[in-house]
Amino acid sequence: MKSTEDLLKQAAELRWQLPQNLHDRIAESIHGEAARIAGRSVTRSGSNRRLAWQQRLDHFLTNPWTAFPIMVAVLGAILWITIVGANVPSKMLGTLLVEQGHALLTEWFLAAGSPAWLKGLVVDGMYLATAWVIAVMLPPMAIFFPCFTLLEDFGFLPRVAFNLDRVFQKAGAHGKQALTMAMGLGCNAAGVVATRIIDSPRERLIAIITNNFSLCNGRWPTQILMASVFIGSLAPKGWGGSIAALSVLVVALLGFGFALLTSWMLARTVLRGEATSFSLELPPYRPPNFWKTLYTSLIDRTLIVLWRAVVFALPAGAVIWLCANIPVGDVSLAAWFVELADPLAWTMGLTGVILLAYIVAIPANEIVVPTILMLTVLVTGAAGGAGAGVMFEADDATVRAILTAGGWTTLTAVCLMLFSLCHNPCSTTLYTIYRETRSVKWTTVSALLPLVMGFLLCSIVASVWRALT
Amino acid sequence: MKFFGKTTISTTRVRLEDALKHLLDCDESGRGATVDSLAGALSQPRGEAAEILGQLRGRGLATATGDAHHLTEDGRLYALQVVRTHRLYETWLARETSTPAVDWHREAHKAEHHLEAEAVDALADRLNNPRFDPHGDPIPTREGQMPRRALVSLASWPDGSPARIEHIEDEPESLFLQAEALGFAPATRLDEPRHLDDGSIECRVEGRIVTIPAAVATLIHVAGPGPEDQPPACLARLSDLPVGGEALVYALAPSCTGSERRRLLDLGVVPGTRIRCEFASPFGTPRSYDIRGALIALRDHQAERILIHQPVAPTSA
Repeated sequence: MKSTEDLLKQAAELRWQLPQNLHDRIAESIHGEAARIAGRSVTRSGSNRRLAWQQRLDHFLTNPWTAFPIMVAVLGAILWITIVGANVPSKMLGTLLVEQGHALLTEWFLAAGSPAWLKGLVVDGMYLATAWVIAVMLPPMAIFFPCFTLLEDFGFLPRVAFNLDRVFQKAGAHGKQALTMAMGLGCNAAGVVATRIIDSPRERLIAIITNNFSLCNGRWPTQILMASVFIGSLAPKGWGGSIAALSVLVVALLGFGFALLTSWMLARTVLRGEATSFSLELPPYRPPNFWKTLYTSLIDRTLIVLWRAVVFALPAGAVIWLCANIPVGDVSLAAWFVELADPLAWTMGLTGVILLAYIVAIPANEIVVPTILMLTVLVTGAAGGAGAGVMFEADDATVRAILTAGGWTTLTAVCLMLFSLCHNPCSTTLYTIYRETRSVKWTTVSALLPLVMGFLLCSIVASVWRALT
Repeated sequence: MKFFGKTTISTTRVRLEDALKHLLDCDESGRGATVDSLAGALSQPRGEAAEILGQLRGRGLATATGDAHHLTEDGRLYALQVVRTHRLYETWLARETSTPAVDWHREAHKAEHHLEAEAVDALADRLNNPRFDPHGDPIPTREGQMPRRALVSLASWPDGSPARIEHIEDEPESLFLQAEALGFAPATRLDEPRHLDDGSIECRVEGRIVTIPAAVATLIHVAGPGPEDQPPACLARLSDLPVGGEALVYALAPSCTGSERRRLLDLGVVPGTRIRCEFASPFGTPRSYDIRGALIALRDHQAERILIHQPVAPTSA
């Protein structure tokens, strides 16, 4: 009879003689046994095999010859529907909120006998900026996100991630990043939230930091305006529209390239790590539930993102108005800053006005163009403005006249398009990044990385351009 | 087991602990540590090494007989605790983080001087008291027990007899990377090893013929496989299954560990599961597999770690 102590000692020695991966093997056989028991006692009705039409569709969507044209076509179609479809409601909201609402509020404030500065700050600054953001942002988001969700529910988006995974794997990222980047085309803040579908923290962080390279809804108007006013006009008659559209597409694709490049750089340096387990379920195709999708994507994505944008647009409006109206010496704060920033801006092929517009428009990229127009009129004294601190929009010809008076060339437009792609994310996105990562460090990296890249890119383009012309 | 009751880490503590590990190594291999051997191990001048040995003696952690230094019982327990911390930390890195294997050693080397004994025990509990670290080194128990093992290098293993990997040395880094790229891990089985003329070793590993360069073979230590290891004659890997082919799962490879292994088991990739390769992505990888009625995409380097019986003829629907 052995004592307990002897037995324990013997057990401790024998413990070392078991195979090294004993735990893994026990877990495996428990899983296997569970599967066997289930197989014996669970009966299934119908065939286990996938339906023939689903197999054919899968083959069609993942075939090397057809996969990429289809993906580009679907993405193009969604963007087209968004841009064209949002036009009408955007105009209606613009008329309602920006023109009539602004006029009405101005009347009320004057009738109430408020001082000019209060009316300027609240109505011309805060209200107008917010109205602008809603008018520009709400319709495209209300169209883009439901379309996106419908494709997701149908089962198309997982196939896109499947097709593109190899590219992302080479960059050290996760295939699902393709989905979050597509989501970023609607809104970067929504794209950042969407990275929750990536399990691995490392790959998720890469997706968050690079999401900003997806050209969001707020930046499309800037791109389209620059392309049609400056680049389209270089093309022979009748081709302007197509050339303009093509140049916007090139910028968007450039963004995709930058996102991959940045992912690759991050995965090789600060975010080094193993490619973690990648398992992507490709769900069977099923007809999406249209109304439910519409409702949830409106509530979950559109309204939440819109609310955050409004919260940030209010103070931004105040800052814009104050910039244009607080005097420094005998000029406004805006004019003073523009003069100060001009040398730096020149290096980047931009103007001081653009830099100032991007600083005050950190809360929302939608107001970049109106702010640029307002500031240009303010600084140059060109005709056609709506008053100091009052943002406005105009048709293409007027825009061209105003901007040319502000010293703009084709180079300025090209550099603005590049800078619009490569600059810090808007404050809504930055706040979302902070909420998702809970890290000041990574939020700072997300803000500075694209900014530095944009600065370098614009400076290089500007110096090459100037050397050639 | 707290020997220094402070949490801020001084360079003195780091040096003393590194010195203790060196003395433990020397004691295990039966030679005594000297001022010269310590100076070499720590890359420090002789004077520094002599001073450290003096401190160890002063604290009662080491004794000297002539030139040779040996650990006292207290010193041995302390050194084992440092080793335990290092190996547990490596295990944690391997199982629960995505840190690349080449960085495990460096990270653990930093952590071993920082973690207090309670934190180490908590880590061990969380990892279910693992016995071996990811390289196959035994982890000392909290009572300070660690078996002595006679390790046989693969380079001197007899031709023809099957072997099981017990341990893979992680230095030098470039050779370790090669061993890792071959998909080797502790418990991997090597069949029909054969020395080639240039000193490299050819063997059958998980359904593939692999050639191990001579330099890499010296990092790998093996033992005879246990009686429970009897793989089927026709073993293959899921990544070798052609599109449209079907096969039964034999097991997950030993190199498939941690969250990757759990995820695959959760998906139902268990012994006996029938898997069918449905289609590949335009670039060839990932490929999609029909696993228990769900369509799952796996990258090739994952499918490589799923061992299957040689494909069976597809069943008609």
